[in-house]
Amino acid sequence: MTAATTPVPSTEQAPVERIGGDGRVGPIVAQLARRSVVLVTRLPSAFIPSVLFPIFLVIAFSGSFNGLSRLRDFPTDNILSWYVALAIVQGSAFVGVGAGFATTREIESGFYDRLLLAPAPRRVLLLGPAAASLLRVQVPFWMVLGAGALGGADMPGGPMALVTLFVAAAGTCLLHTFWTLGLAFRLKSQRAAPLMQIGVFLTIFLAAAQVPLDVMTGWLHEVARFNPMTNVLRLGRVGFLGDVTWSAAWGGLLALAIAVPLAYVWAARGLRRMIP
Amino acid sequence: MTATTTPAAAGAAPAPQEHRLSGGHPMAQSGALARRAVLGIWRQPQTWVPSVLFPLLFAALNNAAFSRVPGNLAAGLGIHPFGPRDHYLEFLLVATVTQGVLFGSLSGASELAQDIESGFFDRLIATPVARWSILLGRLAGSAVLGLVQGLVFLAVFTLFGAHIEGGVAAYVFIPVMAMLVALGIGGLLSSMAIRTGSVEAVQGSFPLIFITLFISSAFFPTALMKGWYRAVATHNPVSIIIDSMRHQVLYGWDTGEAVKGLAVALLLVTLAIGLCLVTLRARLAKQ
Repeated sequence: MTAATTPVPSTEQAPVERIGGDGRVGPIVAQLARRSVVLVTRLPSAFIPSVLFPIFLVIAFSGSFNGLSRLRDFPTDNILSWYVALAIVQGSAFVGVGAGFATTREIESGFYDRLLLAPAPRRVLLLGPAAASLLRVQVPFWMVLGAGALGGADMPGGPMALVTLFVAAAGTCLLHTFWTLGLAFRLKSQRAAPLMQIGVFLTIFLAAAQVPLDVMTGWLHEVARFNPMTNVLRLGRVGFLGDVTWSAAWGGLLALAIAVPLAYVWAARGLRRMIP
Repeated sequence: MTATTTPAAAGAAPAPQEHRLSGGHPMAQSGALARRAVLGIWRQPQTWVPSVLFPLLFAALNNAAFSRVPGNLAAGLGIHPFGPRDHYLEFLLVATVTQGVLFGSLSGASELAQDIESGFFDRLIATPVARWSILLGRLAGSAVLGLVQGLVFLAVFTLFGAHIEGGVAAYVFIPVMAMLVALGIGGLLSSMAIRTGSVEAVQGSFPLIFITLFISSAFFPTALMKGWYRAVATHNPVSIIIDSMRHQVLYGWDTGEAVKGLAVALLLVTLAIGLCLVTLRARLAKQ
């Protein structure tokens, strides 16, 4: 009787259809990114700060520190031209933090275990949030840019100013996405959030963020001189302070070209640790 | 059996109600609850350490970023909006005190919300303790933290070379003002804690605090601001409080400025405690 109900083992196993097993990870990455973007509408409280905070930052900094534009060493007489790029780059970093934070939430709720069980290449779990962050970063980018334009920010670099600023913003966003994913995989708790946020403050405010290098003094000047973020901010600002030149842009491009892959490796190693 | 264990039945005099906090006098009750609040803050470094360390970190950053600004403006334009000594660290001192106090008040109000969330507040309400003693006791914790922060920041800034032109009077006045601001802002945030009973809601008010502080004379003089931003910053009560303290640091003791700051701070305290009591009454009526 038993023999009659037990299926006869076949010598040929049915091929397991591994999603993305043919090397095409694009559709899965797109689905994960889509899911992440949909979450914005379902959990707006997690996303709104990354939009409102940069807008407030650009208003507060340009309002409070308006007098800086009267300094001899200050590169522009329009304070908004200096702070719009800073606010956008910082907002982009916070979008990256949002990806890491969302991942800790899913790890705690157990949903991430299901993602790990999915028959898909592991790298989609890094590329999916990265793609989502690049989509999400459009919101603070255009909103802060709009606020800056309304306030009268100059853009003497023309359309190229937008290109360099977007490269700086997207690169910073990817850097912080991978950095915070790496933290999320290692700490596996939403308590990692302050550590993720401190990363943004340390990288950005220890660079030439509020004032140019020439205006800084003491220890901050030395730290900012060697902080790669100074070059990234220069890349983002170049078109707002004058023509876009290679000499002003290459440092930021190089910093991002090195930092983003390093952050990816950090995240990938963290993900590998999570898999039993 | 019961009779043998009951003191009254055994002929003993009725025991004093020791469970009644400090004999039941409302001020003594406030004192006992204040002690609890202060000890609660002290025993949880995570509630007070950030409100001391972060303002100092921001002060170090801002000072390194802006310390050349006063001198440059004086040399280039012949103006001294940062005081006669053109010393940014001295200008920044009061901003750091205020920032620390605001952060500390947020922690204090979060503690109150935590008490409400955990049910401890309801247990206190059920005890024979005056309602306002409960509030005052909790706010006293924030006020003591504010006082200590004022003293610590004054000491640290003095160590790093800030000169307090107002002398001893300023050294006393600034911590007292810090205490009053902690009481006032702590009271406003506590009323939010009582109303919502949620730590998350209280923590969510952080951007409001940030905005209030930034759109003021805290980090830069209003004389260097422009347009609507300058108008809002000039009339912000926080600016009036900050300017009254800053005057004592930069220009020397001025009783008129001190009285102006004290008046605004006391008004803030009165409003905040009144709002707290009204909110508490509304909460109890709902229960």
